[in-house]
Amino acid sequence: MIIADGVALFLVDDDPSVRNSLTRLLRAEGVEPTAFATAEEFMAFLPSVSGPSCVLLDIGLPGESGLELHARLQDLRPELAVVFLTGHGDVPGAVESMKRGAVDFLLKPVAAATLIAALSRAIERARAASVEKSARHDVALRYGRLTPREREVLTHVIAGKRNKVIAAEIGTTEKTVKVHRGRIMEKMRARSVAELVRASDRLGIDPAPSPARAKPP
Amino acid sequence: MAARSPTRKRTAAPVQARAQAPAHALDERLKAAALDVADDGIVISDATDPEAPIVYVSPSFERLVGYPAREILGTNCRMVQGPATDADTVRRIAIALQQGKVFQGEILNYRKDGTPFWNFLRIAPIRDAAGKVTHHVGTQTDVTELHLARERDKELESTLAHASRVRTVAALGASIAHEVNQPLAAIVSNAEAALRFLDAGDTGEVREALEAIAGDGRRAGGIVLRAHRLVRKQPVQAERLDPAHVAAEVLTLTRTRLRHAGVKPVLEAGEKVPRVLGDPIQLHQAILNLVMNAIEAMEAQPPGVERSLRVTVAPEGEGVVLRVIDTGPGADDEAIARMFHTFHTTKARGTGLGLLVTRSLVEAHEGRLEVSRNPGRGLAFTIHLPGARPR
Repeated sequence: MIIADGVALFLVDDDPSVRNSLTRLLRAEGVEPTAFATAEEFMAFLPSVSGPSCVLLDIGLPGESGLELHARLQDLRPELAVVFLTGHGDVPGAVESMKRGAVDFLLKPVAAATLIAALSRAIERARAASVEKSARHDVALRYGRLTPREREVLTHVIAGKRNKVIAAEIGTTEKTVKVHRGRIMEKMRARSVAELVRASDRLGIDPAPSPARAKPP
Repeated sequence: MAARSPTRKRTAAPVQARAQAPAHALDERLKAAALDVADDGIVISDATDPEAPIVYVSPSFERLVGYPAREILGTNCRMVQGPATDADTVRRIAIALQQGKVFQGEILNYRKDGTPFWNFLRIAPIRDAAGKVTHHVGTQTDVTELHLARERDKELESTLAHASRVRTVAALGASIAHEVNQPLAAIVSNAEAALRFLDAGDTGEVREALEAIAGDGRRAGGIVLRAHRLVRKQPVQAERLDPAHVAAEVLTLTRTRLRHAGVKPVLEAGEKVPRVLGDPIQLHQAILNLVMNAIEAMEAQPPGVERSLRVTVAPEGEGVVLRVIDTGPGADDEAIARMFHTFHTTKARGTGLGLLVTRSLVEAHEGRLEVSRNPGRGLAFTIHLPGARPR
């Protein structure tokens, strides 16, 4: 039994027999995938896809291939978990797709147990990616409420500097820095510097270096 | 001895006219001398005697067969026949002579020492003033070299055709494996689904899964059968064929190859295309070679350039015209002229045989193969085939 709860399943394969049989097998496993014959059909449907999702994707699609579609999805919707299906032992394709973040690469004909295991992993990944995505979304909203000066102080705080040091580096008083720090923690809803560091990391914000190490080598 | 063209004397004046020419036109001694120095072996036999005894042989005939004149005169031409002489040809000669007609053809003859040689033989009757056949004059040319060269060509052609078929089959292998794998994958998934629904007691789903399995099994069988027909070595068969159907099968078999090359195939078949008489495998191969060539030509192009393959089948008078049109790099006049030369290839791994084989296959079906440049990009290969007579 596949436990998908809340994770949407999609299947893209141009062969109607393969599409119908996989749909039937997944239905027997208690999940109902939405099936598409081409990359184009799936892309047209994509805007209405929200929340955690898995895509079971045939590599050899007519028109835009599965690998090309995957590359586009990586840019547009990196949180989608992709499991590849292929009819050939396409090793270079497999290596490339795994490097690009595919969860699994299954060879047709695929045994039900293998498919179920791969899909379960993909569902797990989709759920985690979805949680991560919404966490990042929340953090980004909070960060948006910081003033430019607070954002500057943030980079020093996450570098682990004391208020006195920060005050000296940005040319203000220790007391002012203390006020900024309080506002930052409140707006970012961080209970500790460690939480602030994690939040900044999610947004890709680097800590400010110390002046001594800031000099170019 | 160099092989001479056997067609050289085909337009010679009728012997009858020569025999009736006025005596003053050419003196008898000059005529005899001419016969004596002629390169072709010349034999004259008496047609009034049922045994057709030989009354004259030229020195060149003595040299050709190795018998001196004294051993030949009075006997008849059967002496140069041997164990492998084609009895049917001998019969055709007899019939032609009986009907007072000219015979021309090749026959295997034997020299005195027993060595065989291919003889390009022409026998014409000489008539008297009343029109009665009095003599036969036979002109013989040793065409053994030419004959052997032709045999070698034929053998080479068949080897080349086979090599091309092997190459085609190899290229198709991956495609066929993929085509079979799809229904197999569906069968496995459906069977596993059926097992689960069986446990759950859902017989409706089990039934549907089993029906799908049967359908996919038949589909896989059909693909294997088609592939088998392509590789099987079997004598040429003449069947009534729908050329549009053959073209569609070729596109089905190359589906994966086309897809991997990023080529979009289109088949345009008219509604009332006449049937053609032909060997299904050979026609497959002829079209397949053109399709593979088109794919390879387009594949070599930089990405982003349009890759489309159009196969059109349309009636043309009583016959059919089939075109394979690509959007490849095309070719200039010189390249087009070179295209049908043996071993000419523009491909790194090409053998230069594909087009030759295609042309010989098309010609074996009394058709024509042509190539032309498209108004836009690429080339169009056109096969004209005569239609089969309606049953």
